[in-house]
Amino acid sequence: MLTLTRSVGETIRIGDDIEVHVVEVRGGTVRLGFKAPREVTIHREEVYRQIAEANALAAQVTADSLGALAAFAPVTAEPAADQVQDAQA
Amino acid sequence: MAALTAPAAAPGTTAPSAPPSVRVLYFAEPLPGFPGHRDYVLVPGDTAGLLFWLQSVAPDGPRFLTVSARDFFPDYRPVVPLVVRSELGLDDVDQAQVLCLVSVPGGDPTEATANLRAPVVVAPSTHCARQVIQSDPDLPLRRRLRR
Repeated sequence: MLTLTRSVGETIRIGDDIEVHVVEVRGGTVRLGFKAPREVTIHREEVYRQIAEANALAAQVTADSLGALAAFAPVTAEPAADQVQDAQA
Repeated sequence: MAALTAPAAAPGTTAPSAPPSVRVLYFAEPLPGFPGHRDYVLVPGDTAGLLFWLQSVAPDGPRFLTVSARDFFPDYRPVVPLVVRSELGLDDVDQAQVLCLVSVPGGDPTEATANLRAPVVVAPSTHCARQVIQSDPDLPLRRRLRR
């Protein structure tokens, strides 16, 4: 693993179009800012790992469960026209 | 996007009852944990349209059971950022198909949970999809399906 030393206000560049800025260092915590193309997703490692682990568990489901699971759906469910929120971010 | 269709019947033969064509969903970014797979098909898991298999087109690829969020969680409102809508070609977010991956711990359906923290959002018109990790930490990774 590459290890670099940077100070507040300094930047690390990854490739041509990703910048990582050291915004603040306080105690044992570092605040980082990122500039990256819109298609590059950035997540906290622990969140990404949780999702990956949940996906791995989900990939183990077999067809044996199907009959029982369908019965858990709310019987009075109505389509929600605005189920998905917009976000301008 | 490509469509998988049944082969045509040979000349002089009667065409079998061909299954409907299945559109391939393209994931602009692979699902976390499964980096080698971007192309999936969505296969109904029941006749009521509540359950779907999200199946990689790769022979040994992963398969996920998903539930229709609209039907199972009518009050669920995942956020789809503008950049994701643009990427998916999702002009109208109300048209998005939202699916939640299901886990069944120990194979016991009564313990089944759905992932509301990272739903799969599908744009029906473009057949592009993405698992959209929500920034709201209160959304559960494991929401019980059984009421």
